[in-house]
Amino acid sequence: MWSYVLRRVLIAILVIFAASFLVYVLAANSGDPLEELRGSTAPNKEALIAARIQLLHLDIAPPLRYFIWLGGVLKIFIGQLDLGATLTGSAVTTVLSQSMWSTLQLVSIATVLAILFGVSIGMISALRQYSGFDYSVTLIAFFFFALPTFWVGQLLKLNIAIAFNDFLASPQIPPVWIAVIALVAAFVWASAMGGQLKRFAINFGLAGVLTAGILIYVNLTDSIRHPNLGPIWIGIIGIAAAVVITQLTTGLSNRRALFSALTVALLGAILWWPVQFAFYYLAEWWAMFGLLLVALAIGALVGWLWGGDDRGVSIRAAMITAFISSLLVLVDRILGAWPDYVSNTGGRPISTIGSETPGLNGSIWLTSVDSFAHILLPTVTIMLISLASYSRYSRGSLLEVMSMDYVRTARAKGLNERTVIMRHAFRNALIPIATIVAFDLGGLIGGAVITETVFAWRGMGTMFVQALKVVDLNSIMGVFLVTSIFALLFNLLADITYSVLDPRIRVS
Amino acid sequence: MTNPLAAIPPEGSGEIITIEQQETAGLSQGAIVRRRFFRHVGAMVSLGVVLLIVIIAFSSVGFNIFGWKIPGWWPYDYTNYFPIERPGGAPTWDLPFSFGSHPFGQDDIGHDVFAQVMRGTQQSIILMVIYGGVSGVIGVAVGAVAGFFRGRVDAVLMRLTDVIIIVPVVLLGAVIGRTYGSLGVFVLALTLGAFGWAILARLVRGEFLSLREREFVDAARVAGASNARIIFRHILPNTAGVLIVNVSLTMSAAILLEAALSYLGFGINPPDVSLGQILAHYQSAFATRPWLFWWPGILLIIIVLAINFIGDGLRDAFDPRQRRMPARPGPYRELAQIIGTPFRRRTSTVAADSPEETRD
Amino acid sequence: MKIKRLAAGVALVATGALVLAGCTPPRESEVVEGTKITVAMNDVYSGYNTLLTNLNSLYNAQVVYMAQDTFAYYNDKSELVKNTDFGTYEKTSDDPLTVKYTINSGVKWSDGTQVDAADMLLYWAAVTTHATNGEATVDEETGAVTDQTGTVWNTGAAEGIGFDLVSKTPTLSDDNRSMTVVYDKPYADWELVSPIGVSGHGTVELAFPDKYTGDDGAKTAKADLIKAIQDQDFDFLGPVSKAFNTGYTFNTMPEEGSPALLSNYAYTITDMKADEYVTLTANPDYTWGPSPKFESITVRAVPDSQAQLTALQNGDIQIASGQPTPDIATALANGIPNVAYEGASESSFEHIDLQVTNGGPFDPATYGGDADKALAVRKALFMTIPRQDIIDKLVKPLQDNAEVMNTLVSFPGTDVANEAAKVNGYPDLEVPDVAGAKQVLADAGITTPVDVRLLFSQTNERRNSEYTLWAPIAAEAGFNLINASSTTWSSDLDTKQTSYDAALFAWILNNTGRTQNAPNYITGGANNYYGWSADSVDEPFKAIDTETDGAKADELLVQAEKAIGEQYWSVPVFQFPGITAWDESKVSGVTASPLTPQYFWNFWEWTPVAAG
Repeated sequence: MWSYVLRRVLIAILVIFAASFLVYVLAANSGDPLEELRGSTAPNKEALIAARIQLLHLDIAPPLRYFIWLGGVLKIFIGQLDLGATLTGSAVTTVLSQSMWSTLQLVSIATVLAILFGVSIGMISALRQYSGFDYSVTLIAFFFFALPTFWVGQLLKLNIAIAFNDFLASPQIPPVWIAVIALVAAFVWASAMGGQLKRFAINFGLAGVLTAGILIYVNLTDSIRHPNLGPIWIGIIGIAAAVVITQLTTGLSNRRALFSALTVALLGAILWWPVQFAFYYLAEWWAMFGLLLVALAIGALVGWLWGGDDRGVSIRAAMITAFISSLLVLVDRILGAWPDYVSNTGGRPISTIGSETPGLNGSIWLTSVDSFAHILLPTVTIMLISLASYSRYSRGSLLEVMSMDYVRTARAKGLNERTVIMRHAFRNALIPIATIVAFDLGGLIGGAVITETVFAWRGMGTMFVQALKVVDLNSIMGVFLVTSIFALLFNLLADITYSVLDPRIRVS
Repeated sequence: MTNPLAAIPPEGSGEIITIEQQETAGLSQGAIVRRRFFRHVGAMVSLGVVLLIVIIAFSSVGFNIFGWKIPGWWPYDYTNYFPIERPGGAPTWDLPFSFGSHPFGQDDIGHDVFAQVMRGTQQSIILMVIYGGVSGVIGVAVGAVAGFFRGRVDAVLMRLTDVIIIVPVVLLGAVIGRTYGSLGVFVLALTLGAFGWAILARLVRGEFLSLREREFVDAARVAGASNARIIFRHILPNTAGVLIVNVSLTMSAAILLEAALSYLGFGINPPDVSLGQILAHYQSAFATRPWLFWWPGILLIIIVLAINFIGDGLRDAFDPRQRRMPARPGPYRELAQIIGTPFRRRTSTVAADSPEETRD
Repeated sequence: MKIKRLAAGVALVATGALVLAGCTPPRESEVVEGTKITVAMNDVYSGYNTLLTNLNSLYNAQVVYMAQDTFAYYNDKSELVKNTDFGTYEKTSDDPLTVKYTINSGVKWSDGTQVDAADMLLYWAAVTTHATNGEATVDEETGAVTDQTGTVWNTGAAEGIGFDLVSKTPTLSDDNRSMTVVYDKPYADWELVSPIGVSGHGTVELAFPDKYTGDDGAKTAKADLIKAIQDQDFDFLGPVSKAFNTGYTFNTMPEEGSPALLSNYAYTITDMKADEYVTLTANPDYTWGPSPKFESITVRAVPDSQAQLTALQNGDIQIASGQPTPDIATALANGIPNVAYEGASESSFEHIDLQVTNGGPFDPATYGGDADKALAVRKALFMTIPRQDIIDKLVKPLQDNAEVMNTLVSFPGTDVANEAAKVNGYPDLEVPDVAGAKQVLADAGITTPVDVRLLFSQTNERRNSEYTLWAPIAAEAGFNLINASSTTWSSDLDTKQTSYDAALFAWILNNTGRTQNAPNYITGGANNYYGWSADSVDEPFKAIDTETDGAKADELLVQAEKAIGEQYWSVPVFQFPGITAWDESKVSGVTASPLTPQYFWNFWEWTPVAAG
């Protein structure tokens, strides 16, 4: 295993050298780094041009200049990585170290969400192949795929940010909207659940009434201005989650697992109160992480106590429920900062530019809301790009697996549908998706380039575009180096994931 | 949206209509694929739409081919400007049939938007086809050689593929567009395509790796077939599914790539136009002069959507394992049966057509 | 961390109060507590020392404008306004040209030190070549000078140009508040020199971090600096120049109280995030000029103008500015709730130049050395340019008060520009005269069609449109205007003179200086890529260089412009359109302005609108 990884890394380094040479020569030939100076009327123009030529070695032909750049990169082995200077004279390493994280943050959150939503949507539409749900999802997925990214960004700004912020002035959802949302939600749920007309109608009615009820409740309690969950809702949602998780992992017939999960959900609601003190006195992220570990431990303990013979299953269900309950409690606390944040931003919380509100110094709850309000739209934009392909690939993948002989065998054995899908089909359907995710990372970073420009998000994407416009070679190469290292890393991870998901494949 | 009902035979109609059921009747693979594809309503409609768009785009404003200028039937050309007829260049198209002289409107200086959009469509389609062709040919060549010969050749070619694959396509595209965008759509498409084959090469290589172990390849080899013959006559046709599907998706991605590059300012350069370029240029015209933004926007979406549906249809058609499972009718069909006649008549029309189809 | 900041804040306020109590307060602060405003810039802020070549950007200048005071600034009418609240300058002698700068008493850096001659002397040392030893070796890795040997100032100083003409070390007054400079020869733009930049003692403290720590550290630092410059003590100046070159290139917040943050104006930088924003907070010590109203100003970088407008609409920013698209202008004109706007041209201007020595249609050599024939062809071509139409179709939609530009060598809107327009002949070329152009060609006996290759930026949509508008009219008159646009147009200008006959691009004017245009037009000038050469043009420019009397220099400028106009070498088209838009419900008093620092010029007049 380790020798395999080592060999891959060594090859990867060689590959990066080759690719960087290619990009360097291409980029060097793409324009004139002196363009802006040539249009200047400054009296010392000649001197400025000469200085820049000397600074960036423009008198040396690109293929040779590459090795000067490479020399700086190789200094990483003596601990002084040097990626050269930008056109404005700052070190590329400094600029990159700042922009790198905002892009990776954006891309990683979007990727995780896109995988979660894409794979679940794709799998549901595979299970309901040629249903209304399947056709709607296909059409919507293709539609979003066909929209150019910058268009999506602009649409989101106008229709989500500005519209929502205007709406906040008097946050009451109009009855027409309640009806529309309820109908759409009812359709989605009922179609996803499947079944014959009677079951469909029941599901449709239930989902519709439930959605409308929640929205009316939100209106009545003015929850948009003062959102909070409180122990009651944490309990209710926790119990619902417990039931769903048990159903998906072991089936509701396993009473011990069900009771473990339910106990944890209830504990979550009860522990809400003491945890508030922890939130007050220990408002730091490491403390939050510690609390999460404690919650998982409690989950494990509950599962072990209820477990009986088949402890592992109960522990798993309980721990997943514990994780969800903890998140709920945390979300509840962060929501508590919402009114404060809204007043801090002059009543217009959802932002269309940048990654944070300047000069907002507050608790971690306030800054969490701030990050959320800024990252929301760019993330959704990037997510929508890859959502389509993930849902299509996982649909196809699951369909293929479902027609395999071993699935037929499993059915023939008399296993119920849940076990067949979750145990036999799901896991195998994930294997090809791992490759797609690795391939897609390059596309995501590309999407980030556009998204960052639209949302004035100062990451590697903006850096790259600005750099390419003025042929700032060192900046271009810096961005390229980081992205390609990450692309290779993900490829490697995909290969390792392979061996985890598919025992037949051995990496050596 | 396509009607899901049209493709699904009514329950218990007793007719032999699913193509899968005919496989035993001795249809060739190609015939089965063709039949399945023709059955995919979404793909068929999309194919029609794409053909229509191509015909209109190329016939309306004409085109140059190797220096021959073939004129079109549209009176205005995309480079010249004309007196602005309505305030702000608004479309002269009054519903329903009074088109006026500039039905799609005019821009700031009086260019005819219809001519520009048609020229843009041409350019986008040319880019798409060339990009798909170039990346397809290189991808197949690299993948086939690597997968067939394995060993050192494979290792070298796959590392080369890695070199291409790790460069995010927009980054590379932007650099290429910045350099070659001024040389017109052909050069841009060729250079972009020259770097767009990596994923296809990997997929083809995977197919070759597994196919070359199959019995029919051994049989061919024993019969004395050369490597070239085995590759081209025996293995390659079997990878057609993966190939065609992937190339069609790459093509639709190429249009979007060009749009993204145009937005960043690295796409096709003026005075020539592409759909993405018009769209990016007029993104702020969204609300104020909608005709500048929406025509190219709608066309771009339609083309990409249609190509995707065609790709989807091809995937279904080529996948021998994926069968239709019309066993259980969904709630809508049940509802339709309850509501009665209109839907039933429609489904029965399909059923009545089907036997005819099976005859040829 | 928080406590430390709080403590520093308290200390700052306390010091401020003490200082206020100590002096007679000339003006009461009008800063409204708790008010903040966020404004947008097109690009990022990258450093505090705008004298450095690598930090000399409009965007740095805009931010620094609010933190570093100057002797004069440009108002929205492009007039140079003397800032007598800060200090005064006067010409004490014409021969040799001698100027005395005096800083007012009570003008202080934000650490409480008086702004004085040490700061001015540092400016002189830095922007001239006279306090430099050895060679200017720019460190090749970082761009700024990090690994220098000896004393090097990275300000792009060039021998014998501008302030460099002051070769003798300036003399200081006894109270150290005045500096007198003597120019070696007269210099026309002496008024544009404002010898004050980053602080002298702060730079010394940055150079020797542990040396000047005591109570009178700043005082000693100033004295040492003055002495070192006067004595040319390069052992001392070496590290100082290094600190000057690198110490202010911060784009993340330096440590609390770092000398790199010293301000001598209304605001102090208090917070920043690299490439995203920089926040300035009202300087409590600032009492000598008009008081600002906002307690803090945050400047955010939003490159895309559409994004700026959406952000303005959404309340993320309160002032936006930049080159709009026609649709942004229309959207503004149609009215967006609470958003007001004003158009003001930017300082770049579009113009068309003709090549006269490349063997093309405008080169006398083509006609066997017949200069009159070549001139006739140039004149005829200029007569076909639809300048008014270009403005109407391409510029007015962006800025409704835009006009055809009719001056090449002076700043539009100024008196001298109006005078120049009377004699340079450009107003006669606003509308194309095809018949006239044909006549001119026929009279000169030119066989048409004449091929003219027009070079411009291929990626620039507007220049493509200009070409589209021009080409058919030129064709009517007998010119075959060939699209020779290129993506490498800027280097082609200089290096491929034979590949084009006419060039369409923009010059950037940073100030109203009278000497800056000479290199474009004089024989062998640095920006004269076209082989232009005429005594009638060279002479007035040569005279301007040394004419220190403003009125006389203006006369010479008009004369030069007339001569250029008669040669039909170059014709101006328009100033770049610009729009400044702001949120009326949050701020009032915003005025657009063409020259640097653009709409920031009257930041002290920005007034919060009470929420209501």
